[in-house]
Amino acid sequence: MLSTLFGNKTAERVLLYLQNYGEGYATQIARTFGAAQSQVQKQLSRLEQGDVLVSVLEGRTRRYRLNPRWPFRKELAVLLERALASLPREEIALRYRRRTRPRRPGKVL
Amino acid sequence: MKAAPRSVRALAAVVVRALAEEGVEAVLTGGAVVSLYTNNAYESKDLDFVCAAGRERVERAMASIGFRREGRSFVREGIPFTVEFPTGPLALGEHVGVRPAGRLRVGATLIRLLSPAQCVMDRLAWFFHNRDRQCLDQAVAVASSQAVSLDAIRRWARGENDEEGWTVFLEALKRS
Repeated sequence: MLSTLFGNKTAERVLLYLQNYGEGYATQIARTFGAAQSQVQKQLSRLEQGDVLVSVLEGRTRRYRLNPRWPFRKELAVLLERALASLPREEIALRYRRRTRPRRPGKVL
Repeated sequence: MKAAPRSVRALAAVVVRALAEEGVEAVLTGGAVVSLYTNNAYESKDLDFVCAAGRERVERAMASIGFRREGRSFVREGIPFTVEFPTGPLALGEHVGVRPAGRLRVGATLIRLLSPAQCVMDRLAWFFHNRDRQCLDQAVAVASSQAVSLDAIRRWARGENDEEGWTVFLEALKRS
């Protein structure tokens, strides 16, 4: 959908993932799409170098999100939201609806 | 308890009656309220009641209807729902100490719960602060199936300071 604009399919997935969930790290994103972690990491690094993303290191995990200070952040968000809204329902249910709100400890699942 | 309740609505009424026997008032909140307002389009398996009563009274009330404590939840064999009592006060995002504006009558039992607009706010708070898209979908489902004041929700949302999240919600609501 936007892979031509963003350079490749992995970059598109990375950006859609981060817009959808607000943040993420390479292993998690790769697992979501069944992609190679090295490819995902390469795109995360490339986008961070271009200031599109920012990251923080938490323990041994580098957590990425869209850079709130990037000049085109709002416009990018609009574009990504449109793209998310046009995904097939099955795709949304499978990859973009993981629970991210906290679950109380001791919860019976 | 005679027959095992098979719906959120029926079980909520049974729990509220048992709590009332112990002199405990509780407010139904969370995903169970979404189930009630969307006619189970989003079915929750958890009933969360906010109440200020002590643990012993709540345990006695739940035991009287056959529920036993397991971790933080109350469970009963043969019933596909769990019941929890998160500590109050009732909050909608940054707004703490909220008064529940919803009322649902089931037979002779009056259940106090979040109103449809408060339910939308409750779900949107999870989307705004945790980017939980399940909750975004639920907020849209309630807002599109119940009469809610978007102006009231917008005023509340301003305090949550997530302009982008609010826009995403409005766009999703338009598409629904």
